Amino acid sequence: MHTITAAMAWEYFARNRWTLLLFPFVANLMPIFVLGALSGYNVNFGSKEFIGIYLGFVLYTTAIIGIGVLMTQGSISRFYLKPLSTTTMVNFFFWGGGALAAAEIACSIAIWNNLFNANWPIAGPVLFAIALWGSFQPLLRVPVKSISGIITAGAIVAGVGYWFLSRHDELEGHGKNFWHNISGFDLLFAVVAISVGYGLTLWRVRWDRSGRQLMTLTDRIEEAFERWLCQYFTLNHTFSSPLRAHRWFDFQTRTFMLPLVCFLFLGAIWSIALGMAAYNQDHKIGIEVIFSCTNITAFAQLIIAFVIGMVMIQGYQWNSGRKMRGQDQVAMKPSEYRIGHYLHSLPISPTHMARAILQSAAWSIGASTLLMSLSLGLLWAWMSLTSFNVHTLIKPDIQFWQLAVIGVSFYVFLPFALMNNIATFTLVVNRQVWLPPFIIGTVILIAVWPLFVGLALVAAVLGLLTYCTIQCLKRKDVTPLATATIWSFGVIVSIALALSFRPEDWRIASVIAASLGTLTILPFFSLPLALQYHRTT
Amino acid sequence: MSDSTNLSSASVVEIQRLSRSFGAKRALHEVSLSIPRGGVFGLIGGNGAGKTTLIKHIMGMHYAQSGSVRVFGMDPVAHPVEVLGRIGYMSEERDIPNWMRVTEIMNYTQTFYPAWDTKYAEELREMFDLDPKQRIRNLSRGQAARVCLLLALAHRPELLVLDEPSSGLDPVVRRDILAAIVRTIADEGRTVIFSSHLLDEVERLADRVAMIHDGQIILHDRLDTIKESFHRFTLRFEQPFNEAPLILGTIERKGAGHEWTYFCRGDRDQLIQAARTLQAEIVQETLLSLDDIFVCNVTRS
Repeated sequence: MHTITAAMAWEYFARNRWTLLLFPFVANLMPIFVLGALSGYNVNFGSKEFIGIYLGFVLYTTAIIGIGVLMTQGSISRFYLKPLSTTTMVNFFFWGGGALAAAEIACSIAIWNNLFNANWPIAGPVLFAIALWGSFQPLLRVPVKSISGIITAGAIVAGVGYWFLSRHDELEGHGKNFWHNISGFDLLFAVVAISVGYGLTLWRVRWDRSGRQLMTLTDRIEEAFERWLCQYFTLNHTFSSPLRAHRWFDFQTRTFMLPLVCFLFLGAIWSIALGMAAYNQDHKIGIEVIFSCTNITAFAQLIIAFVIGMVMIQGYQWNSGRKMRGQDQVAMKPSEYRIGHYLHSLPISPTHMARAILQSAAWSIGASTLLMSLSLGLLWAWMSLTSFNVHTLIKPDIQFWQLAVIGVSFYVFLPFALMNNIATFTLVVNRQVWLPPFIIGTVILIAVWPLFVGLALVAAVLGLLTYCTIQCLKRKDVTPLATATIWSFGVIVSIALALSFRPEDWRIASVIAASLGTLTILPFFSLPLALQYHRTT
Repeated sequence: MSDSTNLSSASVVEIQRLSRSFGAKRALHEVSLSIPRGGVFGLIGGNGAGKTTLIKHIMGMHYAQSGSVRVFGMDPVAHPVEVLGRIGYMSEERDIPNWMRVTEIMNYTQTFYPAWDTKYAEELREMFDLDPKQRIRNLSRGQAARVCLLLALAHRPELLVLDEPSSGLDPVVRRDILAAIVRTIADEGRTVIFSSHLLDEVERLADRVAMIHDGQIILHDRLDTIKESFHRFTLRFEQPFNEAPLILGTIERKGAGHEWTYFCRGDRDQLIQAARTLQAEIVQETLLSLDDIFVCNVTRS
């Protein structure tokens, strides 16, 4: 190796060669699936009607790719004992990671543009991604305690997110536009965000490397909060069954994140909206901000659900890749878990563990749905009191039941599928039976016929679902009655969702509905098998 | 492996021709082992020898690629609840959820074990000087090891499995762990399996020992039988040798000229007779420590 940076880059790429492909693949799967399905209608993705989908996909892809780069980079602290200057290691993590994330996002949008003739801007999202990456680094490179971290992260997302959305005139409400022209202000904003982020990262890493602890005000508040938690919220009882115990454990470890973030987001949105309405003495502004930001929160749930799914990999260590342990990088066998030794030594069957995980996911989504419903209920009350015309927010040709079905499907069932299907996919990847031919076949067929991506996904999930159902019945993980009930539920969800679309959209409606229906019920059968597989690899 | 078959009827663990590979790497090869009920079983071997892989098979964390594993007469992969409910396990990683408090992890773990002895758990907690309100992440390495040990012992398991329990710990914590092993075997019929690099610990506690090297069991017997069957003789020959002659059971020989030291395995009287046949005088005779035996066998393998 000629330079330290080259050695670090080699180590990074050698260690993560497969994971580096996985995250862009996952980030592009949903956009390509939806755009492929829509492209069958000869639509123009460059028109303003599609700006919402574009923004959603850019945010989703940025989040997944960003998380991927962070996870593959690992902890910076493992280099603390190496004879490296702090600046060298921060430069590698900060600039190297940012460049990689930016390149992956640029490539993703370029692929969408080429495959679907979308002509979507690339420079804006790349600038946004770099600014977001830079702003988050001080927070992520040195571990920040949970509550302080969430508050700061919320502030960063709000600031950079506002800038990004306002460039598309998304929040001002005077006609939405694609962000084709990067102004001097945009460049200045990005440069300031990155410079401040870099300076703070360097300072925090130096501080951390020298063993000093930073006690911020929020840390002090958290310490007091911790004492209060200890006094009133310590688990002082046992559980009546292992299933209940593990449900509590999984909720505390992973799924609690969803309602917590939802609560913080909605609290912030309501505070800002009420403040804006009071300042401008105009109800309309407050109502519009709450309506659009509640939708953004609902969309953010999908990203959080994905993160929770990834935490399952981290927490239970379901990963066949090489992992970091302590200060060193060590090659680990597939079933060596971070807490997996403890979890998998407990006398609980994979069936009960899977049920506990699914119940915890259901609790979590139930709690966040309740919060969202409360927010929308309060909004409805506000609109009623001020005689606000709801049709300025919702198109008049959409029925309430259609909105409810679509809302429930995408903001209740889709997060559930995202939270719980990671284990299933690791099962498929680890088995390596039919995944490689499926991927190759799909890529070839997508190039020929973009709508095929949707059909291929439905066929693959349906095949996996059938396989898992048969296995579960053989192993007596589920009873025939429960199987029939779950499958019926999946069919009902699929039909209801398909019917909520316009009749002329039946092709795309049936593909989306079938995908969601199968993905929602898949974990009921795949999770016990995946757990058994990972426990006994 | 002389008497493993005789004990199989009373075995807690019965492993037959177990093989395991991770990709191209062979971790275990045709391992057969029988661990009788009661007493302490020491599993010793170098780094990467296959100790942890073997323990994971006993815990049902790896399925047998070929061969079979039976714990309490059951397949631990097929019957995890029945088997794990009777085992106390402490992993080398000691990877317990670090966000929990000591009292929380005790309450959480208790749910899974109907035989959990609350009074005994509390006694252990006090003895180990663990603050019930402390979060695991704020404990020292030694305190975290004590929590793991408490969780493994509090349900009074029939089989206690400790994977490298002393690694990286100070002498005080190691003493606690060794005391726990002694206490466990004091309960009649209970069995302890522990792997260790620290052979003096194994020598002090184990009744039976298995040496594992490169995925194969190279030695398995009662510890006293093993120690009695290995000898170190220093022989003086009448004439000098460039290379000393082999005698029965020679593992290794070192020396020059008239005086040579032999490491041998076999019956002592037969070895002495073989030395006399070569007209050699026995200058010194010593028994080998477990450490010497381990090095001898691994070098030979």
